Amino acid sequence: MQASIRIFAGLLVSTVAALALYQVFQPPEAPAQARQFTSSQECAQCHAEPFREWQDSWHSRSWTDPDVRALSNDFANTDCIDCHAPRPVFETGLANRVLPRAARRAEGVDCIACHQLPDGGMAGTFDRPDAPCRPQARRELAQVEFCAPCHDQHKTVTQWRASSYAAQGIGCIDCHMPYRNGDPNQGRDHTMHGGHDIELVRKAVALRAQRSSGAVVVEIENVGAGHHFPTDERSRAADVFWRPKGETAWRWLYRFRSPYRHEVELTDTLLPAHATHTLRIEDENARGALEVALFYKLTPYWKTPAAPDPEAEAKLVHRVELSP
Amino acid sequence: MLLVLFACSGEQRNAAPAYRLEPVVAPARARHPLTLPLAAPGTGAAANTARSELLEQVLGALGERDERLKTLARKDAEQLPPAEIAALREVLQDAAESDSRRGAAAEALGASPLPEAELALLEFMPDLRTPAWLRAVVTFQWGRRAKNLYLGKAILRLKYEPDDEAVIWLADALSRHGSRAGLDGLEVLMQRARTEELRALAAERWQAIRSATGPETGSEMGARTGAVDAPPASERVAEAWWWIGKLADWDLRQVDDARFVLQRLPDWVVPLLCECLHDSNVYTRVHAAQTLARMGARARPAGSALIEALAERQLAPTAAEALGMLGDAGVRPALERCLNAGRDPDLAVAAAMALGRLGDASALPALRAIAAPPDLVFATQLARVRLGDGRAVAPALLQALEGNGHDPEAAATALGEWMSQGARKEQWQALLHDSARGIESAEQAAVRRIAQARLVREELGP
Repeated sequence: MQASIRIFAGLLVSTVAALALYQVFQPPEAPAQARQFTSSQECAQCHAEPFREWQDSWHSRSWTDPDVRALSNDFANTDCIDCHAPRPVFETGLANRVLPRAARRAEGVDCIACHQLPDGGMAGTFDRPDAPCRPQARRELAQVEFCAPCHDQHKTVTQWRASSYAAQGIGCIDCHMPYRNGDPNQGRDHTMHGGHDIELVRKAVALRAQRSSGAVVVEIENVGAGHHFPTDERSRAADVFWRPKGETAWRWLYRFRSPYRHEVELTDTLLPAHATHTLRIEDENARGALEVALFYKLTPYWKTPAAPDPEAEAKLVHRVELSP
Repeated sequence: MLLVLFACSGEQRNAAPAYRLEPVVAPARARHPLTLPLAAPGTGAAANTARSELLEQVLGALGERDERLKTLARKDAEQLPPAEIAALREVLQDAAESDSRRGAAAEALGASPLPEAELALLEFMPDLRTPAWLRAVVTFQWGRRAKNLYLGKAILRLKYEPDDEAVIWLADALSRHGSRAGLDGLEVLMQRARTEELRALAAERWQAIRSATGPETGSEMGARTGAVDAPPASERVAEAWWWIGKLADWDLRQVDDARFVLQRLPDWVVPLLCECLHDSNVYTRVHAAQTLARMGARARPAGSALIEALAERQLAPTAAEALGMLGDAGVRPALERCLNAGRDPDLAVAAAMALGRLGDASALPALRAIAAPPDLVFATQLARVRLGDGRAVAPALLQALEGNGHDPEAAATALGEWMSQGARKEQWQALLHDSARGIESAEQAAVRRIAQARLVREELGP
């Protein structure tokens, strides 16, 4: 009897021990089946908020935007395709240039371009092997080198490296992809505010004007951009205009822009981070009350170069008035 | 265990050989070192401004009208040492110098056999601040040289040279080196050069080049024979590899310059580019394939290399695009195999588009058979328009034009091809945005597409 009890007790202990060992050493939860994502539309089911933000962003319009199509000669300038419809950044690696995509170009710079990993998973903030897209926590998403493959083609990242923002560790996403409502728990905003957001442009520069020694001295200071103002060389331009108070036509004074390579008669006048550019208006008509304004343009050309109409063709960044 | 080993060895035996990737460009550049200088004297550094008595005499005599004196001066210019070339370049660049002396400097540089002199001429040309007449003179003097060493740099000038006459002399000189790169430009200038005199000059040079090189343009000749030109001189090959080296550059503008030059080199560059399809640098591979694509029918000898490249994942979509540009129906089966949905979707879309460009209607059954994924189906619809199946796909393209998630402008372009064969051709043309009115806004584009959709519906009928 005692032997039976001992055997029973032994079996019981063994079973409990086996169960305990199983609990400790049980295989991890089976990963989700690998799935090939062929469109960013598929991301919307689970990631509705970032998807909606992306749809509102200019990343989603990088292929379809009429300005881009015109400036790229309807993408006959095939070099534009690399960044306006890129294959995944992780495919070629951080700080390396992306390759052009043939499929679903109308989606532009889409979810897959930034998040798809070469092994089929997705780069994200957390490891979730059980989720359909098998996200992996990848810190690279927050690094400037992640943006560089495209945004340094026009030298924006190089400009940032030369600024104090780089030394302070303030990177691209700190300004262009802030936390939703300022709360880290809500994740980052995928709207990617940039040059199309005039409020952000207004924070980038300051415009001042004062009278000095019979002239009007105008100062434009890059107070908030972590790169040149405007950045994205060639396509963007910022122009300073002035006019006597009461006149309707603006008088052109200065342009901040990096020219196309064939425009050899022009020089690079982009305003580096922290820099101030000073202009003087020495004109009889400037002695009375006047207005000085800074306008921002997404495309470099005026419809009528000899008589540009900034109010119709550009966005007002700042305007200051000066009394006589 | 033996069975397992046997199964494994069998798998290895049946596996397709891996696509060969290895350093190609670096070893080739080591084998073909560029011995010529790459920058004109005085570029990027203080120029040597010493001007000898001989140089002043040369400039003075070349500025005279006396032909005998000029001949003697050109002989003297041949003897000028490299240090004097920088001084000549300085005179040429200096806007404060007289027209006569600047023209004389160009002529002296043209007479000098030194490579530094040739570079001084080539690197001067794209400067827009220079008067047009001087750019034309400089180009003419480059073409007059007894020997031109830098073919690629001269071709690149075609990309940036805005002066009509300079383009004419460039095209003329390039043709003597087996490059018909300027013929297309001449054809344009025959119609649109800024003066009647220049239009006549363009026509005359075009006729002369065609008489000297055969009745066909470069692309026509390639299409007919697929022939490769005679082996080039070693310095030409070295320069070509130098340009190929730029295909891996970070700056896409540099890459595009390299592609522009390489696609316009004579046909002997095709085998070099085929070698590059195996380079271990992915950018070199992809941009070499893009260069072959731009060469079109001239790159037909690259067909088998490009088909092989379909096995390399990163290169495959670009290789498929290039195959579509060759105009060789023989590549159709290879492209059709890429439509298989199990393969990379990027490759499948590129292959579908390439089949359309290939223009061989035998591809229609394979294209019609594609039912998924939607992006590939859309690509097959675009391709089918090019193969004469426009009416069948027009309803689907109409949906894309109206915004069902696919590229509405690609749909508009394809529908335009189809509509251009129909009765409403003029009405369609009238709807297109006139770029002279500036960049079309998003709102204008939306309005245009609505009107285009209405017209397509009329064409389709009830």
